[in-house]
Amino acid sequence: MNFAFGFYYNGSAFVVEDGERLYRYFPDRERWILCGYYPGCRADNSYKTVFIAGGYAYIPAISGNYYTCSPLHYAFRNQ
Amino acid sequence: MKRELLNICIPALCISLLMSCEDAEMGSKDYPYPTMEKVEVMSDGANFRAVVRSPGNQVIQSHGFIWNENNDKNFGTWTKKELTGTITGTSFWARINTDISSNEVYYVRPFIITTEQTVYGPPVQFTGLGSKALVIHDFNPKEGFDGTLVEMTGENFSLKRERISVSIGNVPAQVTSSAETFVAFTIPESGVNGWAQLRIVSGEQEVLIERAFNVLGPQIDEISKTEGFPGDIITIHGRYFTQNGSPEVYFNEFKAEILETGPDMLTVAIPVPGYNFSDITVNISVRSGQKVSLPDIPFTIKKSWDIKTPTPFDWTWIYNAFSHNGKGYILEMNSRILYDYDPASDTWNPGSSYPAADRDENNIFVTAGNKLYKIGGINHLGPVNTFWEYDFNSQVWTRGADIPFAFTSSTHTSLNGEEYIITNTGQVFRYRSMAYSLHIQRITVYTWLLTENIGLTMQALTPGLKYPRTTSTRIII
Repeated sequence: MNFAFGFYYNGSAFVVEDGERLYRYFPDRERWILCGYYPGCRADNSYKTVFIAGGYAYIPAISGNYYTCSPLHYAFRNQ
Repeated sequence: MKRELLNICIPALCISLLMSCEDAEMGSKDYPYPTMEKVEVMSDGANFRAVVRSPGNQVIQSHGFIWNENNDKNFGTWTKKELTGTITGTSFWARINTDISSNEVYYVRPFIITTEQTVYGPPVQFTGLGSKALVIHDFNPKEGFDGTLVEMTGENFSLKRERISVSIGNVPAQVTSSAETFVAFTIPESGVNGWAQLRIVSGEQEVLIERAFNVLGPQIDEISKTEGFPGDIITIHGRYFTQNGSPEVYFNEFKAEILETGPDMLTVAIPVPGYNFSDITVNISVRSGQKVSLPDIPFTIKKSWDIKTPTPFDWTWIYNAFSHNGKGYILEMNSRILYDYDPASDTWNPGSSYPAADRDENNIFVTAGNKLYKIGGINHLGPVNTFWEYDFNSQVWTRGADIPFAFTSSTHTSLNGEEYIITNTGQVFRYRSMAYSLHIQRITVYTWLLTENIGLTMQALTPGLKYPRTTSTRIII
């Protein structure tokens, strides 16, 4: 189950597409730019959520169908 | 009588056949008829001299000599030295500087071209001793893009174009025209970039000229940053980014997305080098056609990800995390425990218990001051319109009045100090924290609907406005 989910971080909008690809939006260019891949295995499968704290976007992958591919937790930064 | 007739007819027929085979060895008085008089072989060429035995009555256009390693009649493949102008007297000669190899046996024939035909004299055999050395005088231009026509002057180029070859940086060029003192060629499409060696081969002779031609290709002069995160935008300044083909930018093997392109400027997004858990030093290069910029420009792609402690639970609910006072929170609905995550210690800690009897998920969580508001969600029966308030100080949950809408999914964000909710049905609600005033309003459906216990004012904006992605849980406005 992986619909896109977005968050606001470090002055920019981000969207995680299909649980895997992380895009950042540049409003002056009206473009979404790829800026990361979620590091966990079978990232397309796991349930994720996001919160922002201390200069990082924390994205835990809480559950999924693949053994050892959840729970996982990674922190993203671009500053 | 019959025998005498045959004795006459057969030779006559033979002569007739010989004369009609081709014009190559014709000796008729109607045509000029040259024969070799002398071949003077030298270590750096030869002197050929011919005599015109019969001048004929046709207008002579040119004359000269052909020579070849074998005496076949395919004269077009023989090496040819052609002289123009009139023949003075009954003989002509030529100094041959090229296309004679040492110890090679040749056959040489004189020829005369008239307005009507070409007459070749009988061959004479000789053994070569060598030719003059190939000399390069100059060439122009000395720099250019692929496809540039270069004209080179010199001495003793082969008279047969197929015996001449030119290479730029070991890549063969196309020779478009040549003569004994001249060669023209075009710079080939290749990966050669910058000053390159010219190699000119004429027959058995070779001339190498180092750093002879500057093949123009992409060149990076400056980059706007020397380090950055994947997805950051940088500008590359340089030259010749587009002339050899659409440019591509690489950070090592990672291809960058190009946002703006110009002949001397490229704006690119730093590519994602996999799952980078550490800084990566790469080289930036620009490719245009087959060419790659030199030298490589070092660049550091900074790490984007850190590994953190996973949640101590792995139930399958649609959790929507939130943050407050530097910590992250997840309301774990299976155990009904509000967990916090402390970035400083990288630990998950169980907190207060959520007191509701039913479990629901995909809720909206909004923090305001020291309060948390849990709005709506969905349970096993469908959307719920419950509203809960949590006090971070007292760690007490309090149920408020139900919200005047419900959703199976939604997104929310803040703008100019106000929070917005967009539901899966396309309704847009605006709400703002009214500390302790506890109002809620939905203008288009309700008049002011005051509830005294939720601490928010809600308002529908722009009836009919539909957010195009109803599956998103959050958006940024």
